[in-house]
Amino acid sequence: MRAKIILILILFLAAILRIYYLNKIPNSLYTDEVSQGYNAFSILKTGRDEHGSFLPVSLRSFGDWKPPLPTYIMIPFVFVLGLDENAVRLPSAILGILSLVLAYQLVLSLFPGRNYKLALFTSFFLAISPWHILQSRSAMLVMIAFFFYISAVYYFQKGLHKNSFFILSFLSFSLSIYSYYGLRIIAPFTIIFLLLFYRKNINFLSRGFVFGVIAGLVILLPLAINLLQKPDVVLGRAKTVSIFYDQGIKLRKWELITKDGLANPLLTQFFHNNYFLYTRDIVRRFLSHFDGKYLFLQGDTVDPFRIPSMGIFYLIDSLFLILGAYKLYESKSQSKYILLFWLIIAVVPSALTFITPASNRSFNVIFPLILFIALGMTSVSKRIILSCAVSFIYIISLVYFLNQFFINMPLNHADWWRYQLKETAKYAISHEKKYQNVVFLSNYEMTYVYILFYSRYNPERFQNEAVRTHVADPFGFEHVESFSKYIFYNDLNWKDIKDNRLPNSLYVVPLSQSGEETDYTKLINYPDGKAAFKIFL
Amino acid sequence: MRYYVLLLLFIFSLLSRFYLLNTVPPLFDAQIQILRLSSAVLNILSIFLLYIYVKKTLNNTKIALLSAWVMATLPWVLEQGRIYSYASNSLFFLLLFLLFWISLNNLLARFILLISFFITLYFSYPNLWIFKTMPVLDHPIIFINNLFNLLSPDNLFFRNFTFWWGGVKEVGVMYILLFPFLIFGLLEIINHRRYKLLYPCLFILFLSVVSPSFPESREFYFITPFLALTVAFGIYKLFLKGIQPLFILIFTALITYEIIQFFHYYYIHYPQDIISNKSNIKDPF
Repeated sequence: MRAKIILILILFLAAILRIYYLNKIPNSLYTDEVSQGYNAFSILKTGRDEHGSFLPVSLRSFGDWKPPLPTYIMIPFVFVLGLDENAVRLPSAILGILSLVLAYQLVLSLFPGRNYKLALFTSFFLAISPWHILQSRSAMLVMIAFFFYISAVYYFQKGLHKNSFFILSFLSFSLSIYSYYGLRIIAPFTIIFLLLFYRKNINFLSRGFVFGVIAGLVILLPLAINLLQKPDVVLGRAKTVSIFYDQGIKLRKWELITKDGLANPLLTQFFHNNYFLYTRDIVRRFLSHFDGKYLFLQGDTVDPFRIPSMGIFYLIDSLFLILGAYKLYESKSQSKYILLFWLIIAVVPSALTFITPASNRSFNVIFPLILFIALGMTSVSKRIILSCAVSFIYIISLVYFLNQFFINMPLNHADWWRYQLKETAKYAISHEKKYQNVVFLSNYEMTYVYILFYSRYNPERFQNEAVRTHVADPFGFEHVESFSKYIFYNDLNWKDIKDNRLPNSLYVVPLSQSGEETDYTKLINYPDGKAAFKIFL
Repeated sequence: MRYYVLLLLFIFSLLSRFYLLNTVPPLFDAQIQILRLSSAVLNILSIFLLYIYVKKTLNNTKIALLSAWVMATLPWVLEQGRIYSYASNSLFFLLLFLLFWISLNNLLARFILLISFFITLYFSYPNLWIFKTMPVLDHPIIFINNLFNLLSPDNLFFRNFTFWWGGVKEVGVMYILLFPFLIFGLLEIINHRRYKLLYPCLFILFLSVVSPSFPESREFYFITPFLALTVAFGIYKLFLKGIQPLFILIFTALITYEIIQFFHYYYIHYPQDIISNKSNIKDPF
């Protein structure tokens, strides 16, 4: 009973940290969030996404083919709250809070014997985790995927005692596959691992297990049909961010072979072959996710997953993480093998991409890492003075994080979340009636989707009006060239067109192109006063 | 049996340290030639000192042999053993000091030994920052940042940055395949309460982390015998748990391939890198 009361208090704290000012911090929806929000709106109103596809299994979006479930989950929120920031972010926030309950339950099932303290510590450290809070406060897919994944593993554990829970487990595994591309690797391997690990404890012919497998497969049926129709779509953006798509290794191989000057091609092949170079690269990228500097000091360096001047964990976590990992190693519990597997498989999808370490793609690894911290903490929590000192350091760390996340980031790093696009879109929407055209020179930014989102543009009209490139840019994205009176120039520079402007048109020009020009009508600024866009007539 | 292994290790060390010693890496100053020779000799002796040290500390010949093997093949040890390196030469004296230290029980004798070691270190490694300047530590975060950098997987297994223009940048301190054994060895050392083995590491880490020349903290090189020992401990303990012969075979094949890859890079690409970086190299080595 006492444990449940503490858990409720932890959930209350988690809810505050995740829901307070959800629409304002981070201070703009990121491009992917806006896209999902508008597509949810579009499906709600027309049954079709922005491209006109009826109830799509993969959302084409910017040509990156987003997994659909996070968008579908948004639909009831958009229906109730209207199309706004809260409707987009609430699903992640709510599932983020609920994942704490699942983590609590999962720890109890992995470490039987009333291990309430460990379970509570796990929930608590997840509740205050900068990484978990960041992902809960943004609709960047992975929180939804994490919720279904942890739920799948938890119900699998329960299924070992009561077969009917296998149905929930396999359903959750299937739903996780619809939530994030990484799970298309993680979930199948986890199922195989769990089936092998518990092969002696599972009644494979039980009704619960058989129905579970069938239910999971039925849920996956639309994806399988989609796979047969469009094989490329199933891996979506994962293809264009993969290390095999990147030219880095190929160029390095060419450079080494050229420098070798060996006459024997077999010998050259022996030393400089794809197997060695790619394996080495994958292992390097895999291990980079466990670099102390990334975890505890610097964090992710890619927008929007950055937290100013801190890692994705608190610095003090490093001590307890090491201690906890050792405690787990010396424990007799068989669950340590599950956690070791989780630790490895959760990072594999990220290690196969060329921007590493990536906190977004490796988010599922948060559970074993937080569990290590919790384990480390349980071993010192009996010493009162030490506990007080550690608690004090954690309070200071939390306050520092809150300052960085809620005050510093919105003020000084608004561009990380594309605040400038939101403000520009709002300005353009409010002034569009006066002009014949609104022209954006946007440097490959997806400004069009902000216009759609903040004007709540009629989805049916957009599906008919949009003029698209349907050709991927160097980063693998497709663009909208125009709709209604909005025109988006990605390849043209302001210097080249400013003397041949369209009549009665509003021009939105990024600072990188407009330089020192002063004859602008309006300046769109970041919250810290720095200019982002100049508006010209 | 162990003498045969030691003899093989000796032959391997001789060949790997002396083959093309004056041309790889390219020699920019003829006077360095003799210094390279002494470096190579001390480097080989260090390997055998480590063998004796581990054997005396753990009373286990197999771990001692494994440690010596790992040490002899470590990319960084090979690189430093073939150039005129203060760090490499001083490592020999450090191991000698540790060997005497464990043999002595008298406090006064140990104190005299410690003083003697620092005097030797002063002459063998005159550039060592503790003899010249104060540590640079403007902010505690810098200390932690440096620590994480030195212990990063990137530095340990992929890109050793401690000797940027002159070192072999394509590989780390050790081979990637040794990673699981390093972790396992570390956990086993703690599990067996053999903390003492790792005490010198703390001092070396501190010395490297607060070094004013960071990231070029060549002092970090002193950690190599302890890394070798930890890896050897891991290999030994893992094999004791009853590893399948097939696994041993695969591991042996893969580590051999990785070592061959290193030698290829060392003899073909490393000299090319050195020549192209010649303008950035201040002191000949």
